[in-house]
Amino acid sequence: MTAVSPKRAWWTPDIPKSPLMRRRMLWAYAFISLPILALLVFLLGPILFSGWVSLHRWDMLSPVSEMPWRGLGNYVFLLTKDKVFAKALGNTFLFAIGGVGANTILGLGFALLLNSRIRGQRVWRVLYFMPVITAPLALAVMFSFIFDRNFGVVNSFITSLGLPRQPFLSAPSQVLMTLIFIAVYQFVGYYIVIFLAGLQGIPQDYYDAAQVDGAGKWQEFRFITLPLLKPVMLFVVVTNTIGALQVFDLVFATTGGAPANSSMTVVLHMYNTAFKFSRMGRASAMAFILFGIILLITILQVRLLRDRAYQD
Amino acid sequence: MIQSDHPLGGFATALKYIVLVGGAFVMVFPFVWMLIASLMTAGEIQLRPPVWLPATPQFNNYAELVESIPIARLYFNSLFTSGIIVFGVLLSSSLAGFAFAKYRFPGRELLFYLILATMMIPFFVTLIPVFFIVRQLGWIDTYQGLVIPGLTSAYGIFLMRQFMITVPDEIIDAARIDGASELSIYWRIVLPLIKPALATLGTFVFIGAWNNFLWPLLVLNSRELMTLPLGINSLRSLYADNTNLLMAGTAVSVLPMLFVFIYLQRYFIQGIALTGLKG
Amino acid sequence: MNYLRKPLLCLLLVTLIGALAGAGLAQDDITLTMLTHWGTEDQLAAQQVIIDAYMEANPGVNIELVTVDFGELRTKIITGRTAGISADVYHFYHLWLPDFVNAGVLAEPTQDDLSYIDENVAQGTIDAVSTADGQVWGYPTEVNPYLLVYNKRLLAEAGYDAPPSTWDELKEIAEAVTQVDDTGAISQLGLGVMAGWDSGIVHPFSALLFSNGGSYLSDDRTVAEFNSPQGIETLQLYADLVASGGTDPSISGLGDFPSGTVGMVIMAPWWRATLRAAEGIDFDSEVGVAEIPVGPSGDAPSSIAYTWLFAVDSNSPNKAAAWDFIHWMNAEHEAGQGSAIGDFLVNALGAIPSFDHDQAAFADSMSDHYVSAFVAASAYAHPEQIVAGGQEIKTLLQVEIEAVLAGMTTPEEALASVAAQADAILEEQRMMAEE
Repeated sequence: MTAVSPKRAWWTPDIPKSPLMRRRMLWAYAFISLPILALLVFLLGPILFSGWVSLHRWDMLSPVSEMPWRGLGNYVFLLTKDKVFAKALGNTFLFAIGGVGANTILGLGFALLLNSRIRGQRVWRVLYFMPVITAPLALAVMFSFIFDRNFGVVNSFITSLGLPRQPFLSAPSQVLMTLIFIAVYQFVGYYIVIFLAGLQGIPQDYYDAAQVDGAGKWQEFRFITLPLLKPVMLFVVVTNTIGALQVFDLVFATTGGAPANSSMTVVLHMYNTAFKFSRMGRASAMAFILFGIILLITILQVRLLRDRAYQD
Repeated sequence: MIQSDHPLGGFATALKYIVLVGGAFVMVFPFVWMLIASLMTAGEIQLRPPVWLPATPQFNNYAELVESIPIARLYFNSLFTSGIIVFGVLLSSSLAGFAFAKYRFPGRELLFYLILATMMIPFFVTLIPVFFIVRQLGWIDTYQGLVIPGLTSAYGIFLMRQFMITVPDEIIDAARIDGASELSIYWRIVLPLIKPALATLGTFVFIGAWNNFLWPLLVLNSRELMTLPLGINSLRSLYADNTNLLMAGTAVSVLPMLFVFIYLQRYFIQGIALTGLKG
Repeated sequence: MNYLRKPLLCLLLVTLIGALAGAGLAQDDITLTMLTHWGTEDQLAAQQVIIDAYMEANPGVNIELVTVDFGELRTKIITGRTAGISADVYHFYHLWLPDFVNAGVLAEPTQDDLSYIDENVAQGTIDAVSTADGQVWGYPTEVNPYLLVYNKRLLAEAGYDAPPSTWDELKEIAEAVTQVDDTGAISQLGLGVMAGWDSGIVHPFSALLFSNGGSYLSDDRTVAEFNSPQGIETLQLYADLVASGGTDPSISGLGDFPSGTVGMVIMAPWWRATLRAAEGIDFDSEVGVAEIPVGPSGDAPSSIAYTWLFAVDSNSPNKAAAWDFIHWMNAEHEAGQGSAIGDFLVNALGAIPSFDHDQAAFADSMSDHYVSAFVAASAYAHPEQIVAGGQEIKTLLQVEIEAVLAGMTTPEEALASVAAQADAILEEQRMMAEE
């Protein structure tokens, strides 16, 4: 080993020449050293480890060195045999589509309302934002009670109007919808605030110019607001989708996946597989499949929303 | 000042307020109902036809609650651990973001793209291995086990870099000419300039840490270390038969945070709004 | 830094206080941690009384009670083990025993404990806390057989003085008790099921299965047998009940029977505390208990019973102290007084204790019409068959039964699907044992 290698790796095109610049370079390394170390230990390392475990059978109790090798067996099982996983994937997609759709539409809708001449904008924002800062677990406890078939206040209200009592969380046909409602309730305030910031960032001149041209409200929305809001829309849809595909707390504390797995989601199934049935390998494989799906959907969304932005 | 240039202007405005009030009712009602139910007797909750208000408010429910669960301890644990996580993320992200934004060094692009890539990983991929690592470090059932894996954030580094890039190089160079050290440039010049971004990230991280459930559920065992979400979870079995007490417990865990939020709402909402624009 | 002063100061203050408070925690000579799922207020208090009495009698030993929800108990035991911070004493559901033993979680009881259990517990119950090789792993606690619990008033109002003894009668009565009001709401339901809870679904199903001449697993526990024709008949009963309106999975038997709107539920003895406190049904005059109705392929009422046990973690540094504590809780210290746990099981839970001395000492408390019926059933109920992977199989079966209840699949398809998965799990577990 020579002290100084004459060859430079491809990714190091410019090492600063002057001693002053080199000193600064050392500072930069000092600045990033701890964060990068932590990311290696708590993010990158675990990802590799998880990938390794996903190729084995591991009950978490026996030593890692003695895990029996399963190759791609866990992946094959999940994709071909595990009915719960298939069901959980379907539910999770429905949950994400419903939740992201509703959050985007309601978030934008209320943001537009608040952005028009409305008194007390700050008060409205605070009211709509309250659930965002509340623990999902607390909301789950509150809504389990509110939507209870027997003692829930929603059913009390419905039946006092003479309408039939609804099972909500206890029926396969309604449980996902109810969960989507709770999830939207929790996060719509967050998206309202983000859309509102986006709307307030659109220069008033554009609208003034449009009004000179005689554009109506709808045309303003269609040809100014919407195109200029594309980056915010992209952010909302992508982050919301990534979050929705990983929903756990809410389902864990309301239904636990019942009835008949009608509300089983991927991460809850992963949690059960790992910690209830001690199948770490299979759970890790599930995590990677979910990662692949999230990656795919994110790329797709970015493409779609960007392309449309160009067309407009 | 409201100029009605539309024949339906007055009607449209009224409609707007109706929609807003309706929405706000939906948002606020669950909290109100939680409070009402928490003041009922166990029998009143199960009455059919239902009663909408308790005959006499049962403030005893809260007294009973305080006796059976260590509310103060839960609050302290949540505040303490969330506080450390917020400081940790702000410090580590701003330092790394500063380096990525304002320094040239070999490996910068590679490392930055690596950080971008890890932002996409679902938290569950790393959950089991991180649990395993924390165990190897002997940190299960400790504050450090709860806190340290959360002290850095790929998203935080990314966000800080995006904001710090907008700080003009001229300011930094001028400070250097005046003899400022790199550390004092970071602390005295760059940090004050990106305060809004720090508020953003801090808010974000705080909400996440405050509400986190799965990680504490796995890593904590002792009652002394329990955070609020774990406390609520334990109430679910403690008061399985007493919905009124369960609601009282949930109220106690939720409402103080709401008041803090209303007091500091400017920071929360400005912070959140910024993420959408810069993310 | 005016902008951030308020929030940052708040946080800083709390962080500082925490750093100061974090120092210094004293330790006693020996600390034993006991992990149970008895977490309601009353149960916590009753356990603390036992613990305090033991600590007073044994200075130098400190007992810490940790409780988690039943749904998280298994997870907590496994993650605790993985983390190297396991409790010393566990109280757990015997279905998990083979998994725990295979993974080396449990410590073998001492010879004294084994002979004490052998002398004072019925053989069937001892088998329920033993692995296939005959090794006993702990002190059995509650024995829970299942019976048909019914609301006398609702059945009488529907014109029935006696509970059903056959499935045809069960269907008839269930349909007759069910009332749908003019809004289409079910105001009264014949047979309540307990969807969303694995034992609440699988145990009543098993009780009906055995009463139809069927069985859960083969005797050597290597293949599933719940998919036999008797099993399909059992699940068909559920489908028929749903079709006739006699049952409805959206109504929880667990929550609504106590409020007096459900006619029948298949349940266990420990429900007594809830039923006594219930406002919708009078425990003494309205709660009836009957044997499980007999199916078309069965010839006598049967049932299943599950058990829980106290055991010691194999990593515990204080195994001897842990076994001493368990023994102290379960042993009779004065003739005729019963044990502390026996007292707790019978009087706080209404469960049937395993130990002969507790069954004798608390016979009075078990002589009410409710628990006495279960005591009689415990003589013939089949112990739940325990096997490695048993929890996973049970969960799969629960979900398929719920799917039939929801009309999402047929009994044949449901059971064939679970049986295939169960057989694969059993096969895999055997191969794992050999590896």
